[in-house]
Amino acid sequence: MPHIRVELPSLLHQCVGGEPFITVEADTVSQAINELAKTYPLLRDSIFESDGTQRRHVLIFYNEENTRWLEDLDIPITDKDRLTVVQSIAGG
Amino acid sequence: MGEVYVCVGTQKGGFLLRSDEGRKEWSVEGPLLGGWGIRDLSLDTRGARPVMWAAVGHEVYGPSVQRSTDLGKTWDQIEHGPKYGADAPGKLESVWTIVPGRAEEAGVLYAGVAEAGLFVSRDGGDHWNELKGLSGHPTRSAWTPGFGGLCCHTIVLDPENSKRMWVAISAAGVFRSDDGGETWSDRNEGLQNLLEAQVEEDAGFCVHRMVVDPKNPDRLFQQFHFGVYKSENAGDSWERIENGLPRGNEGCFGFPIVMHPRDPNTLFVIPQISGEYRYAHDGDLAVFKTTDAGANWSTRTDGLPGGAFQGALRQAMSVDPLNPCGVYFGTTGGLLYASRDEGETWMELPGRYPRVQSVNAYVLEG
Repeated sequence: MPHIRVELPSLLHQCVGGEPFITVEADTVSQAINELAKTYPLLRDSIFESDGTQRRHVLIFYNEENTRWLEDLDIPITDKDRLTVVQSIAGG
Repeated sequence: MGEVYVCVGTQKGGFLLRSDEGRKEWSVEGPLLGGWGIRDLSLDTRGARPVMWAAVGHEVYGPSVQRSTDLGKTWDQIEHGPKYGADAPGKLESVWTIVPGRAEEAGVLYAGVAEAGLFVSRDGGDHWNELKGLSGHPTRSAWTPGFGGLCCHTIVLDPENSKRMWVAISAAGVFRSDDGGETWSDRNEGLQNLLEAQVEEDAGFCVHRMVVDPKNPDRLFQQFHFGVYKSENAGDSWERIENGLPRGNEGCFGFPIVMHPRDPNTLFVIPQISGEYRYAHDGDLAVFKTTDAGANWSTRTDGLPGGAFQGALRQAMSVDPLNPCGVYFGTTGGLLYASRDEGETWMELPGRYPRVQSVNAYVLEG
């Protein structure tokens, strides 16, 4: 099963033991995000609301694509892919 | 000889100021949990060593409870922190305050949250449970958020009666439990309702902060949206106590109210113009003090600045237990002030901070 690297914003490093990057094992983007939430409950609570919806101002990028804009997350992944969690607030 | 600790929660992290009992020279540590919105930064001093608690509400990443056993150097985010169940009437947006239980209640802590509710931990903060009698109160449908959200911001424990406690919710009102938090009754008679349409629901009372007289727990004081009030019957009814306080177009508007650690007739408030302006009258920061349980108030400005169009938030004022007691407050403009003589004169503490959301003072023995 491929491993995908996940980059986190600095405020969320403490949710995964202080690391800026983590790696999860999954076949698809959807599985990777689910695995992320399952393995790291503190990260889950910071990224998702209690009903499982993604927090309004949190974005998860699959490579250069905003996953919020992708119609289907059952995208096969490779070891070269990455997920990036970012805070979506921009500007002043 | 003790060391004075002032824990400061700001919109972008916490700070810890330390001094000896002279309270003239201060050191500053922080930011602690930099970047996080700290609604309340407090110490639980009941155990062999102090435990620091941070009540967190972040605009992006949501609420959390964080614990430090080394005075803020390292933090442990609580995995099983406050969480509403699927049947809860509200959504958990922020943790507003964390209050240790009574001295004899080892391991008990309370957390007030927005949207309004109360949680309790009985294992030192590892696990938290909702006290559903409050969030499911019969008036819940009529609760409406204040400017700071629908928040349970104040938790007051009766020091003599282990079954009795009060909470304050903006903008719902004062609620009292006489059975350890299982059931709650609204206690707002005499207060001015914020929204006329809600009079019949006995909700819509915008209490800003509340304290109890530890020597006579039937006596409570509160800074309300429209003024300062006192209750002599455990909150059953309230009366205005504003002689000497400045009044704007909404009465004596303000947020914090604190009580002297040994003299319950001495209290401090920081009036602001109104809910529209939310800064000191004429920009002159002023603390008002009463020494007769609110019968009369008078201003203290020595050492406080003019031209400071700032206010102080509800949790941003505290006292220390020394003699004479220290009084501390932080402003919406990120300034901290301290008095070493029971509010008579003031000095600015070092540092310029983000918006100050909480101030809690302690003395720890060295």
